[in-house]
Amino acid sequence: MTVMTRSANRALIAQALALVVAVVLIGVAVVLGLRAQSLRDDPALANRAQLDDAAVRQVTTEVSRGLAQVFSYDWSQPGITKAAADELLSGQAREEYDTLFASLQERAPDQKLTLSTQVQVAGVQHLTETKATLLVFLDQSSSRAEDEESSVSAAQLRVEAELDGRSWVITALNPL
Amino acid sequence: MTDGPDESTESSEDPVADSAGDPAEDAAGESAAAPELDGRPSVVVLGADDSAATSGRLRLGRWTLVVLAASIVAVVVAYLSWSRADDDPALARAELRDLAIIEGTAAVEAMNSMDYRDVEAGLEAWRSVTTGVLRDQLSAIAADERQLLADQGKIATGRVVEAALTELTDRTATMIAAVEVTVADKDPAQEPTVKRNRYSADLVLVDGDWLLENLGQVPVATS
Repeated sequence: MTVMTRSANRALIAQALALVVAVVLIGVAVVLGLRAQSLRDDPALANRAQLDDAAVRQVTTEVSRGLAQVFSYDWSQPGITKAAADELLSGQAREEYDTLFASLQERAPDQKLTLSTQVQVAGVQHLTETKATLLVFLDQSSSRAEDEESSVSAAQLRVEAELDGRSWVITALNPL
Repeated sequence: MTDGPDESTESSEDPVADSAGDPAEDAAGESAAAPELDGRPSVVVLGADDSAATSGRLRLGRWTLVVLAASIVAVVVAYLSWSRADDDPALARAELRDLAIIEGTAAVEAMNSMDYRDVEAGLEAWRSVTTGVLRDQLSAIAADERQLLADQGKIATGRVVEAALTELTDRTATMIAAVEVTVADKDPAQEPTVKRNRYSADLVLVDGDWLLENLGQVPVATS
């Protein structure tokens, strides 16, 4: 009787131990699985800036070129600037730009104003598949017919862009 | 699970008890024969128990093995998944990038801050965020220059409005920053002035911290 129960007990204990081990292992597996998931969901990874070199290059190049185009202006050929704005700006950036452009159109022909803009340096702050935020330092030189010298001014912009099809469109311009 | 072995041992015990004694003795013999029974049939019981136990162990063991194997597989799969996520070079790089922005920002702000009331603390803050030649230069600031900083009576406070990296390697980074410096005079009647600057900062990773190796304004092109 005692041997029997002892033996049966032993079987039960082995059984129970095995199940306890299994439960512990499953617990460890769940914890590891959750850890792995949280590592993959790390918001640091969601930002592709400095991670996806090709995408960083593309957005930097396109936004830089776009800014140079929309902030360059020749009083005798305003249509070029206007066309660039139509193609490269949208949303809030477009609305603000239109106000700026209207005032420029008013005084430019009298002053024979020419603006030339170049991007000094641009860095991507945040990048996803379809959205990007950049910090851009640009220089704008302006020349008027009456004064021979042209003046150069520096600007710092925080630029937001969205991927429209295959090219980036500027959606917000925030002077800093 | 405990039902199985119990039933089988009971049923194997009954025939032994029946054949051991008369039906008349049964009632009285049950208790009296108990020690004897305990000894003799124990072999049978042991055998019966053994087979029940082994077959039980096998039967239940099959399930246990399945559960055990499944849990081992689960642990291995989860471990591999975790170690791959943990070793992801992109994650390490992303964390390095975010740290460079945070520490680079703090360093640029420190370099644009100075309080005339405690020049030594200001210089110490400059030294603590720099490395290499820049740090040596800051350490070499002479006493008369320190006195000058104290005599000017200005409190400069730098604030990085926006910053972004333009380059990142395992141990170097280039950060650009739009900086706003507020300069207050010791004379409270004087309004603080605000200057806007744009900087490019070369950062180096030293013992896990990003330090400034070079800091310069991004000049306006004079073309």
